[in-house]
Amino acid sequence: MAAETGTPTTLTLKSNDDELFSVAESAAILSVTIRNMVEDGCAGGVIPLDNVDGKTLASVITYMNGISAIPADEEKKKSYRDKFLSDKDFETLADMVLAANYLNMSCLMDAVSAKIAQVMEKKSVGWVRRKFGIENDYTPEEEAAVKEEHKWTFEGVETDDDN
Amino acid sequence: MKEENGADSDGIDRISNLPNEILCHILSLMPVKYAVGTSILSTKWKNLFPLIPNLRLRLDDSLLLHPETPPIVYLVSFIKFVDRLLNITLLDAPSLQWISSALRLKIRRMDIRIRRLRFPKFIFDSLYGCNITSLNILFDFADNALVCRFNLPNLHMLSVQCMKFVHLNILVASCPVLEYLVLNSCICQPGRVLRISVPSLKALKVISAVHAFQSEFEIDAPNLEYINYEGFLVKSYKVTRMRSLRIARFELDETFVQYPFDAGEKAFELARSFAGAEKYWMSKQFITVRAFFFLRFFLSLKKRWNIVLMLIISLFVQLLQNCPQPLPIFTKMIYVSIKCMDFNGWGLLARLLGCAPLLEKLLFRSVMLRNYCA
Repeated sequence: MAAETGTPTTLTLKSNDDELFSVAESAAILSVTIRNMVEDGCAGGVIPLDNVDGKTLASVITYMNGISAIPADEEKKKSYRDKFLSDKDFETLADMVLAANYLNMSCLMDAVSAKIAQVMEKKSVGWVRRKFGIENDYTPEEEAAVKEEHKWTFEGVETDDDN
Repeated sequence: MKEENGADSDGIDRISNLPNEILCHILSLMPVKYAVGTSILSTKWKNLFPLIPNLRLRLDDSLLLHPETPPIVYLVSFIKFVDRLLNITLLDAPSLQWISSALRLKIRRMDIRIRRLRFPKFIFDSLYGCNITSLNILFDFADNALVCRFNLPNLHMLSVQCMKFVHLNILVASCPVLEYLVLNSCICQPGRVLRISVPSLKALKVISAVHAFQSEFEIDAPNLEYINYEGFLVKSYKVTRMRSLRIARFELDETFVQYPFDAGEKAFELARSFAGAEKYWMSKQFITVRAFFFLRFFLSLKKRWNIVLMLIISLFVQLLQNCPQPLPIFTKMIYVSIKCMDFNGWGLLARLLGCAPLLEKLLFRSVMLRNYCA
């Protein structure tokens, strides 16, 4: 390990579409999944990450490098996270939250989840459905019943002009 | 992220396809109001919010954002939601049985505040034999309240408001390991006796109500360490001896009331029942009723007078000005602080100091020197 040899150890990660990425071990072990593999000694060759595609993994690695370069300063880390996520579309966010979950990276998981939560809250039902492509499978009667039951939750929420 | 209305989903529902645990994590980061609001999105979402781990309900601005809208509609809807939430997340609880539901979650502390409770029996039947250690209840039993069964084998802390003596006596007797007891404005009918007989009791706070004059207090708590008595005096006090009383605090309500008995004597009787404490704190009203008695009472105490007690000596001085009897010798008094009084009895002060051979410290604080004639 890095501490023992004195030189930074590099790990090679492989995405599920066979792209290879090199990343400093010190950054990669932000992922508890990877850290466990390193500690168990199975990180000698290439670490296959079967649930993450190349595009997402590249993003995650950018994040790993970025955040681990920041010293222990929660403020700076937070502003880095905000900046990192600011230009991501929902497709990417969904992929990242899955990857973060798989890689067991709680800080990325929380940041992405919060970002998605922030996008959704206070938005009208129609907007959220269109935005995320959610198919409304309620019958009109069921929908009216749910709406009536949770009336308080729609107070202060944007309304749809069209429904 | 694009903020336009345009569908950037290509018709594929990416978010609903996320695993439930991730969706719940996302929902748990929203105010609960909006998290519950996602129920409307589709049938999948309807069943999500009960799965959120550690759901916290905060009754803050997110409950009602727009005070100008009539809140009643939303409130009723919110109350229904909480009922349903408790019923869903607490599994198979039948509606309104939320106490049993909470107990099933091994809740240790419970506060129950209900005004005009009609059927207290249901609540206490739910609590019967449960393991909670702290209970705080406020409610009026209806006059025709059924006789309740109580059994709280692990209760350490009990705080009761507006409960009748007759129920209270049974309730307290059914708490074998009770250590802290707060009785607030309990309701007694004339001639009723409040009986507290709890060997494990360490701290007792009694706030007696204005209409309790004709009632009686019987306290048998040999291990009591702390007594705090507030409010009004009652007809009689029977207190068994306590071995390790540390702090006794007495405070009379300032409301002017006409006691049907000699209040001074009664206050003295109450204080004497708790003699032996290491520290006393008595309010001005408490002492004023019979100042000279209290002076003798304090002199009779074995322990050295502490500073708190000394602070009230100024009050005595005021009262003793008209006292013809010679002052006793204050053999234990080491500290006198005179504060905030219109003090014109310099001669009396001289007498007082003459009776305090061991006095080490004399402190004046904002004493008005009117009629200065020393």
